[in-house]
Amino acid sequence: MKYTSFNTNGLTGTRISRPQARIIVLKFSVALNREHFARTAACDMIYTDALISGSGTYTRGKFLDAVNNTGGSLDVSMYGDILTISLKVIDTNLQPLLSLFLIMLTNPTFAGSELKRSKETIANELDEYKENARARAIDGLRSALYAQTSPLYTFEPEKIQKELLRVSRKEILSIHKTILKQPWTVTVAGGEKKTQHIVKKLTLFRKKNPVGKQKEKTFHTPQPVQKKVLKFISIPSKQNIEFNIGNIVPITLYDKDYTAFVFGFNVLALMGGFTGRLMSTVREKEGLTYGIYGRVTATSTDDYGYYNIATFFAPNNAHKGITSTLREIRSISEHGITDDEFVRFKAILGTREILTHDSLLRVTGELHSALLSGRTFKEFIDLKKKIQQLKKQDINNALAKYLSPDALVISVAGPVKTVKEELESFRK
Amino acid sequence: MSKKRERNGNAVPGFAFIKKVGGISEYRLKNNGLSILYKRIKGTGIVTTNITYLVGARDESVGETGIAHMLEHMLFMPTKSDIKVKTGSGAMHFERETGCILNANTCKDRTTYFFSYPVEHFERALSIEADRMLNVVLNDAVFKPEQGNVLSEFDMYNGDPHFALAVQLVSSAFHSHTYGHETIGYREDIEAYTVEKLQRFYKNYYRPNNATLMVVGDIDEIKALNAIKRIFGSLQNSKSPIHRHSVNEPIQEGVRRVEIVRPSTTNILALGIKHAAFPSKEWFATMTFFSLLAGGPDSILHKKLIDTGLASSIDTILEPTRDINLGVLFVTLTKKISHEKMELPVLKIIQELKSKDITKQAKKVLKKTITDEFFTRENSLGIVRELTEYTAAGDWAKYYETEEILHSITTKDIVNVAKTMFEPERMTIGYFRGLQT
Repeated sequence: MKYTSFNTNGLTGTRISRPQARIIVLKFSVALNREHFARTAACDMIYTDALISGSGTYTRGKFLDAVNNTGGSLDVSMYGDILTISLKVIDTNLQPLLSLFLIMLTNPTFAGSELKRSKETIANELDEYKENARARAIDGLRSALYAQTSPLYTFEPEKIQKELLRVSRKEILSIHKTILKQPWTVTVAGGEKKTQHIVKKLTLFRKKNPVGKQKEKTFHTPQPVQKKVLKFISIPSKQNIEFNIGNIVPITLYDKDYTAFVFGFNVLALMGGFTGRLMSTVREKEGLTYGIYGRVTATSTDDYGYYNIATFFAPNNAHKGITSTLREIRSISEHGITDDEFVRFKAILGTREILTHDSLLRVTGELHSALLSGRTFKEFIDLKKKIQQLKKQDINNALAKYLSPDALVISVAGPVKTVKEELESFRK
Repeated sequence: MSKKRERNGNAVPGFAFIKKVGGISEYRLKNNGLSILYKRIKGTGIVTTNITYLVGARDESVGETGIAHMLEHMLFMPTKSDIKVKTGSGAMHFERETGCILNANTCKDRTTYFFSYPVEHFERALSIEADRMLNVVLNDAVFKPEQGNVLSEFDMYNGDPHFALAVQLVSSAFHSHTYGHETIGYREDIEAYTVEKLQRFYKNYYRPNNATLMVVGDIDEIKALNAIKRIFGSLQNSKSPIHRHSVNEPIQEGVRRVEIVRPSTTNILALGIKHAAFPSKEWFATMTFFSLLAGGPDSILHKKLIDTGLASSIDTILEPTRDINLGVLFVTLTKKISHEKMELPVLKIIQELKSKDITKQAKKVLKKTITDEFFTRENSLGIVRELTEYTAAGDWAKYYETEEILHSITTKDIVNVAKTMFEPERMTIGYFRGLQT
């Protein structure tokens, strides 16, 4: 694979080309940098639907029809404060899909009838979401860690449903205006010629829509909780109890402790497979759950992120499961990783990085996330070296500093009535 | 011998070269009948090896549903050799030392295990697969905790109303065929497993001549085959024949119905239809029909039900199975409409498609499916995932005919799905009723 970075005024990104690649992936993201309220969340949900619901002379039906006629896909999503549009297509159909993408950005209709439809369908989706214990557990964690004005705070579905009714077309237009004026981060992957063509088109598009007066990022600077916090979300229809456990990690990507902490945390809870300590104890040895994984996320070059551990237990195993999980957190924070783990995880993380390159899609996703967090392409590449240069003592120091079983949030979703009293003992 | 012949496995003694289709070569290890599929992907430094056993839910007897899946979990337990060297399970040890990606899954017709890793670990991966094919030590000490994990997995699925409804749908749709239970089995059966039951199942189905080993990645063909011969060549098949159920499903004589009532705010209408085997043209026509109905915001039911506020989501299940199976369309209802009031309009929409001109829509869906195929096949893991299904269905070479089959589907083929598969004698209808307390 060949990587080429580009940085013109307000358009930053990387082109990944692979010989004979027939697939094309484009990820286009914009940070909106706003204060967040329930209203913002409602607007964002409507916006991501409304953007693909008619542009120029295309009605919603005709626009979706045109996209599908290319065989490709255009997806719009909002995470936190970042809008991302993903385009996937095979090379022979790139031109029509790219044109639709640009039309969508240039002249979205945001017709009143579509906004009305959008409000109703989103309200219905939120009703379904109310029963999604897994999603609610992670959202519950974020709501306990972040202030309401933070983009990572998740409002209760009822609050968002209330706000949906009040969202105006003016507010939707305002989001779009911001998107066209803010800097764009782009990752594009495919064959050499096609990716060059995409970047050329985007550069021209940027010239027609130059960066305006930028909205500066609103810093929310979350702080870690200093004690155990329990948050219960009752969903009586579920059989298992979903847990999401975590805390703010008060360092940025540039902090010397960051890579060390992530390394150590991966020893505890590496996502996927059976290598993390939690999987080998809570699942393998104790048979308490099917899966228990964690990650460090949302950290950027100028803001703090958080770590979280996600799992579920049957109600009669909930207390045991949390006890075991907290035990492992204590063990690694107090005693650190072993020499064996230090050597093994250098190999494991090195291999994981190599295996990413089996898939153009995966590489694109990972690189794009890195760019969105504020890393440059060079920093993304150099991360490999950084990991291999870590010292065990630095890892253990970072774990001791930022991980504690006595200071974290335990977000619980499901038939919580059956376990609440028992779990309250963890507050002590 | 010419240089060209030396470059392919024909020159490696011990192998019968079967055929080459597209970029994939098929061999059989003469000693024990192990099938091998090999595909080269140069320049990545990565190999994915995948071994597929022709055993799945279809092979399970009454009272032992889910045992193929349970055994899949047990294949990650230590073998005799692992116990000797005290490293724990070879597969887990491999992952913990190298960071390879590993996993496994079981479906109706097959169980499959894969590793993806840098090429220098190729022989180690092969050794693990060869060892655990026959030598996993099954005892209560390793079985009981893993049984707990499988029960945990069952509870995870069972908490999903769609899964709970699907269990009821298939058990009503099939009275004899062993597709009449979900792959994970019934909880009561999982609780009743014994090591003896597992051992019997393991001995019967895990053997070289019931397995296909796939090697996809950056490794030379001769090198790969020589390693396979060295590592798998001494494995023996059990002398007893492989036990297979022989079942004739009784004729269905009308719509079958099921209902689940649980405390919940969710309400679902499900339409189950019996569809043709994979990878027939009819199966792909059914897939296309399902996409037409429920494949995104441009689809028919999305526009008529979600955009009008009658449904909050629509989902489909269509498994690639060797025999006729049940595909399901799920409609999650909003508060606006009841199951009974939703059922007729949905069936009416489907009936209307019998006489509508859906050529344009069909072409769109087929284009999208072909694009999706490109994305699935862009990496070695995606390739083995698909090859597994074609292998399990009995003809791996059809993997290269997918695009051709899709191009050959006509509007008539799709309309035929509406005409034949939604007839009462092929349908099972299910209601998940949420009881608000």
